[in-house]
Amino acid sequence: MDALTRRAIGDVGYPVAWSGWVRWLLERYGNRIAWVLLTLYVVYASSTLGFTPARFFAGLGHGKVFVLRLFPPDFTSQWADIQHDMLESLEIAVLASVFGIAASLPLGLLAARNLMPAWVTWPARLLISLSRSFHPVIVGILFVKAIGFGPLAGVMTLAVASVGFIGKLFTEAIEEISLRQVEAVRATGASFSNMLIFGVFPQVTPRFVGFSLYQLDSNLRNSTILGIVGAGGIGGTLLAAFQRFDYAIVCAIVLVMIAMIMVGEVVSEQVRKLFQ
Amino acid sequence: MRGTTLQIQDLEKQYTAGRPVLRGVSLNLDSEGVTIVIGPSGAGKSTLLRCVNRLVEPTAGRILFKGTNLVSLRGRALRECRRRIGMVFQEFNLVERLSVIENLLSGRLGYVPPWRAWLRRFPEADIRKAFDLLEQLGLAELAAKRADALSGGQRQRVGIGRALMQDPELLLADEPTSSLDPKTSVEIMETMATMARNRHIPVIVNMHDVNLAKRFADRMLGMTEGRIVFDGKPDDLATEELSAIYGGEEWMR
Repeated sequence: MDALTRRAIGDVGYPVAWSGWVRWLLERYGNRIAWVLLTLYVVYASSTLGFTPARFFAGLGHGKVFVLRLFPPDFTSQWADIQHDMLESLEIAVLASVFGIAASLPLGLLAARNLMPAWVTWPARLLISLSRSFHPVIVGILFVKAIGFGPLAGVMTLAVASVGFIGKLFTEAIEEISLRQVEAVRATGASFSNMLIFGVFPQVTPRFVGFSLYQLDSNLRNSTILGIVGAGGIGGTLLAAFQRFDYAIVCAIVLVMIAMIMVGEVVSEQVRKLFQ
Repeated sequence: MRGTTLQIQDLEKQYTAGRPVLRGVSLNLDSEGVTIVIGPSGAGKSTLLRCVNRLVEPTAGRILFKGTNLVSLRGRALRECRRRIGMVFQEFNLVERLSVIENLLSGRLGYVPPWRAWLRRFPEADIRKAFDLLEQLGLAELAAKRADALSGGQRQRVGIGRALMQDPELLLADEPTSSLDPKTSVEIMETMATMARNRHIPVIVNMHDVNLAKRFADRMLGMTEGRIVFDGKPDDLATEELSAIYGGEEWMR
């Protein structure tokens, strides 16, 4: 509101009551107040955490020693372990993706508000958001406690994470489809399942494929961390190497991880092209 | 033999309570001929058509399709009636990412089980019929093209093909030419009228273009504010009737 309009409608420019003062202040200076508060909090948080330039430069010295000890990487002395655990991580990622996606398809459909009644979408939505509410590491700890150490816990952890993530994306994709196409298929007298097959799936398949590949990629990365909580895969070996200060092995493992993820990237790019 | 295909009795529809879109429409439709409904936007033309195949639920009234009251049908019985009624849409409503031939075959979805639909294993007879129709519609070379790669006129032909794949006993067309240029509009109406005549089925078409309507209609209906205010031959539709349907006369000059 500019000054002229304000005068025209009888707004004197300053408020009379207390609550009016607060509102007036927020309207005029709300932005600036928010920035000042944020800056103050950042300064406060930095001071409590010892996040100071001096501390940073002291740390750099350690970093130099660490980086120097990473090289050359040692691929030979524990290669059998690295290979075995890396393949285990890969298996965990692939299995979790398959099961997670398989579960997400029906769940995502049930949660879509444009196709399902509210009493169906609510439980489905609840289940999906529950699956998404914890970080995979926390879910991993729960599964390790519940069903014991090993890759099975890892598979289940990442399957749950996949449901939480792509279940939601599937739902959103379905909710964004063109209902015109669905209406036309309905008008032919198609049953509900035929309506899904011809009216809904063709519209969402490319996006589903994209989400699934993204999830596979994400599961590949996450499967390397699960070993830290005992849920199988390369993470356990990596953690052990760290604890032994065996940085040459650490470096070898990290390089193998990078290689695996890059290969995954290339493969998923090819698959994506196939479904465009 | 002429009989009655469709009898609509006192049809009413309110999307929100107290704001009727259809206010008691009654109508008998012979077993052949092109019936064109004209009227201003919001007169209820679209709603009327969509009530017939129950894409829209009527609030009150009866719709007898060859003696069956469509309004009381549910579930499978409704779908079995629906598949005998073909529909053509203003925006074509093709499944964009599917091929032309798949779009035609989708007209058979009321007849095939899901596994056949999923695997695209339609019966041999359906596939032959689809290719025959493509030939008749002049789309033979486009069978494998994706629907979103076609021009407007071609898309509407596919839309007509899909409706005819149902072997319909009644064809509904909701402003089938409103998204098309004038020349293509005439061609599409020509195609639809000919196909319906050859099959001896009645067609109901909603339309805004009065001249185009007069050219193709055997019978014309004028709707205003949810009521039918004109019902007669195209030649009976003169200035007076048109001003009753649309209100005012200035727009005609």
